[in-house]
Amino acid sequence: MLKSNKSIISSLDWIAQIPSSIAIIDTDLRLKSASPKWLSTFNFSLEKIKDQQIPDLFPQLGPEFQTRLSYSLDGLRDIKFKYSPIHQTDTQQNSFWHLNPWKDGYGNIIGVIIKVETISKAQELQWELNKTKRLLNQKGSIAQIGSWEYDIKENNLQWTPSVYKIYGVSNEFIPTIENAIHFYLPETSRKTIKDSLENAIQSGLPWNEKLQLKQKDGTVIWVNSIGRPKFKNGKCTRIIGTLQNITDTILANSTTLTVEPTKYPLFEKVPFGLAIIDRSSGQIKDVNNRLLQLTEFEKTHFLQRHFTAFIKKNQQTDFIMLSKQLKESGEFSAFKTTFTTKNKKNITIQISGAILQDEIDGNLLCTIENITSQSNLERNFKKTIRVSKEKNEKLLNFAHMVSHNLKTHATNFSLLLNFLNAENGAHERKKLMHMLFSASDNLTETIKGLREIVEVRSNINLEKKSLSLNEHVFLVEQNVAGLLKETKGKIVNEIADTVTINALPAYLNSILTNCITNAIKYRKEGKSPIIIISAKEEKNYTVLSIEDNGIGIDLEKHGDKLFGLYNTFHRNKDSRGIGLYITKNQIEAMNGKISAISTVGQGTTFKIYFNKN
Amino acid sequence: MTKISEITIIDDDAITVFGLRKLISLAVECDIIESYANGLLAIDAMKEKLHKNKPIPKILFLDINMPIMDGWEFLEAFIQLPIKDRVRINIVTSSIDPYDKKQWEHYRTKSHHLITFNQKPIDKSKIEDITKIAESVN
Repeated sequence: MLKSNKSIISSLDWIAQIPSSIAIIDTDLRLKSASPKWLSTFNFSLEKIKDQQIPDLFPQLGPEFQTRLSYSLDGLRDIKFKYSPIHQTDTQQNSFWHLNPWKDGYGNIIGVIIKVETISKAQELQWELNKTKRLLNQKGSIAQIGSWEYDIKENNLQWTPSVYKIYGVSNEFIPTIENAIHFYLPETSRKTIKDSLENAIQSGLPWNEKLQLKQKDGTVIWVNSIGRPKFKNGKCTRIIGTLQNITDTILANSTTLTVEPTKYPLFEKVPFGLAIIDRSSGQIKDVNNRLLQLTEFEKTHFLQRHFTAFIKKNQQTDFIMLSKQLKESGEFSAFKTTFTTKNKKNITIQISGAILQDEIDGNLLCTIENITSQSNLERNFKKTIRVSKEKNEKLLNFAHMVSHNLKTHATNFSLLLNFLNAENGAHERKKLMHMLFSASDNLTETIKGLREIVEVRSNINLEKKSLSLNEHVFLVEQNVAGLLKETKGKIVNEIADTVTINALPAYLNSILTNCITNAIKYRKEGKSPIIIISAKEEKNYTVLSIEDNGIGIDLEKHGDKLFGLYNTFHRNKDSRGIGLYITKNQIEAMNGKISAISTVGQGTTFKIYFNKN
Repeated sequence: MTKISEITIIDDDAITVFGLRKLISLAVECDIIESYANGLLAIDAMKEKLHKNKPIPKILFLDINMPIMDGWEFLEAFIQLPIKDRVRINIVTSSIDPYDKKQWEHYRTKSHHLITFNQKPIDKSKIEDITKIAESVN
């Protein structure tokens, strides 16, 4: 032993060269060497203090210092404590002492290296703060490291009080090697500690393991277990070791591993929803409060669940494309989907995502925005475009119709006048004059019709009134009484007196007159017309039905032209092809609609929808 | 003057029919000029003629906007009829709707008959031009 110590000491000359403050002691706690800085800091000369026991040099550090040194000799790394000199001088100030095992080339511990670090005020405050925190966390207990000794021959296990605390058992507990091992978690740690013990006894190998231990009350903690076999006559007779509760360190590390948000200071501050998704498993790892507000769910609703659980089934195919985008560019472009909140409200959300570049395993950060109001706006916008497109088409159609009709009359006039000019026969001239008058009448009639249409179009802004539907049906009935009498027709009015609609009185009269006269006009030959008028309330409309037993219209053939201009489908002389066109325009001007069902030879039913708003 | 045995006018406007009759009689010598007020009356008459093995008129004047059965519907039905001879069908209209032009293009390529599209007004020289019997395709 002496020889080996000497060889070590001779190899310690390097310490004189280093600028930091370092002292080295052997296994018997004797000072072997120190750097000039250390010596000057504590005002020692190496010749005087060499081979002295270091606890004797710093009596103010008390027995705790000795315990710490012995832990270090057991292999615990970086034991740190604060040193405060009794009298502060320029050189002697508050400092941190770091104890680390000193190992030879074979890994055997041959002493302790003490490194002294002067501390700034800020560091000191931080240290105090951490210490206070630790004390609070441990509920006053500072016993985080304990040591133990196992006598193999006697099968006797001795614990220091701290070990009892780490195990969470009272001082009356009698430790044996079996029950001590039994505290380790069977899934993760028990086999490791058993094997380590076996190896130490059989082969003399030390161990240093981080293991999980279940305290008596069931709390699972992380411990650092170190064991070093001791030999007598080449045989392992006992094992000494230390046990340290390192739960805080492990958890602190693991929290930074699993709870990423701490890394993203803006996680809770951004004005939209955020979710972090594990890319390999697809599980949601965290969501921010904004997302919880948006979805009305609790955080637990999201955590550990697969993100596809929150996407509508019919949109799931999109994911193939999304994952392709992710692979290629590290992000995917925004897509829209519908989400049902906890209160069963459907909202439109927009999701976009990107792989977090600083993540080793590539977590996916998704932003979730509620775009319900935007998409509503968009929908209204599209509707407006559609309506104006329809209006535009109608206008063009109208222009074509007007031009066609006026042109017909104009050409007729010129044709007849040309003939008249070339004709000398009195009889033929009279005939041509007669036709000119007829053409003039036709033109007047056409212009009258066009004026009616234009009036409907320009009256769109007139105010609607609440009108009794029954009253107006009765009024129209009076107006068509002559026609009814002539055809032996009958009107059956089934509308309740209470039914009112919002309409322009003139339009309502025009619509009713047109529909009722149509029903009479297109009656079946040899059959008296019967017209049944009824009303029904729907969500947004009051629906007026006018049903007749007339000749009917082949809607399959003429359906698209039924309400068009100058389309007549029957051989009646007085069909102008303008009535239903005007009716439709009048109803649409009041935000209503009209539809027809008909069977040829059976009759027609017109349904007129009066908007309630 | 060319002699044509039979010409048919399909138009609901009495003045147009009168005018066409007069113009035709100035341009060609024709024994019979028939007229129908809509497509349905005309197609029924054509079917009747086929049924009775009577000759189909070589020249038709066809209006588009008519009640009950319009010009296009008539044309659709007419080209289905088993008529071997090439009939000249003169569409006469005051329509400026591009849709009607498109329809004409459609039927012109679809049928072996000669179909022409004529905007009103029709004058004497125009009538002479379109009252020539269509040459057989074969």
